[in-house]
Amino acid sequence: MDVVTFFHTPASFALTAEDARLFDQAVARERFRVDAYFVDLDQLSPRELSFWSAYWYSMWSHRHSLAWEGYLQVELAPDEDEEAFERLSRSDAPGEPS
Amino acid sequence: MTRQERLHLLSEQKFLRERLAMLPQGAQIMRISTESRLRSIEEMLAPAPTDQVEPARVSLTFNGRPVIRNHGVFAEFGMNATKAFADCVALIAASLTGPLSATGPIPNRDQNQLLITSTAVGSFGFELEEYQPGQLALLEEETPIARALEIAQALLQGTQGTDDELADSAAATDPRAVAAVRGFLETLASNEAICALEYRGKTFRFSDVGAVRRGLARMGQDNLRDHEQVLEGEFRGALPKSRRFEFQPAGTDEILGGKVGPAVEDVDVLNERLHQPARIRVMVTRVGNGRPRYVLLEPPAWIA
Repeated sequence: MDVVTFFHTPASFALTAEDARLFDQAVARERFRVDAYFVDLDQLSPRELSFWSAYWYSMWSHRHSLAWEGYLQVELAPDEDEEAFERLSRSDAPGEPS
Repeated sequence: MTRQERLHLLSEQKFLRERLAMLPQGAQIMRISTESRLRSIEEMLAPAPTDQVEPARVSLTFNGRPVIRNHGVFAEFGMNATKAFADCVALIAASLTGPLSATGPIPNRDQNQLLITSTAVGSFGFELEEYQPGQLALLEEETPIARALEIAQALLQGTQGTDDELADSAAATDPRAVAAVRGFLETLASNEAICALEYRGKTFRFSDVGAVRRGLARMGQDNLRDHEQVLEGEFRGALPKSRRFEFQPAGTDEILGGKVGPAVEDVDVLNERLHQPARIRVMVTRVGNGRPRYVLLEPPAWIA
């Protein structure tokens, strides 16, 4: 599964070496079994953001046969973390619904 | 990896390098993310390109009574017509490596399969692709399916052209494969359907059901006739690349030109024995009142 996160960086955020590893696609795949990518909404100019949006929308929403592939948009809402964590904990195994 | 897949990766690599150059200093997370994607692309591109060919792809679309605009095609017709087309292609492909027996299973059917990979955009139909199990073919080789699709398109085109055009395509095709093309046209005509075939940038399309019926009549056995004939005479020359021969029947001034069928592997054998008495078996194909086409069916018997 591909996961693309469009994010704002909190003002207080400082990147540690351990954090930096997590943003590496190879490490995320190994640890979480997803291909994770990131788009920084605060750092990109409108021109660059439009390039990245086109990239994710056109290239990653189709297979090579041009058949559409679905995207699921999930808002990262910190006030829903607890419920999300509880639901995930009820899962028997990674990737299996409860 | 096919050439197409490689081109996709190369264009993505170029795009990401350009974006990376534009990332501001503060975009550390994106830099890590983009660099790691670039690394995985570079790993995929690392092996040298092997010049593998793309599988042959053809778009077969239908129109007429069994087709409801671009919403759908009746399953029974869609299945029958697509199977009839796949049979034509498998038979033509099989005939490229040797003469076909009149009945029985299609030889090498497993190697000459088409996959339905998508529905065709526009009018309703299917995208079909040559199935290449295992190793992909190398660039310089044309696969039997690729060649068969070209012949199938030429045959359909031939049904709408002159007698000579139809005779040229039909003579180069095994009678059983010609019969399969006739079967495909019968499926279209009996369902009041037409088809379009797009292959290698060329599109053939029946204009209406009348054109399908006329095509079918022209391919009918009373108009497109072929029979085997044994001739005695001598070879005057043969071209190994285009696989054509010239033969002078005994006691005539006439020179017959024809194609060397797949059963004669080495055309040079004919050149080694020019002007020597030979007995040959040929398939004679004639359309309407057009001039006959000859295909050499087997290695000649040399008359001592």
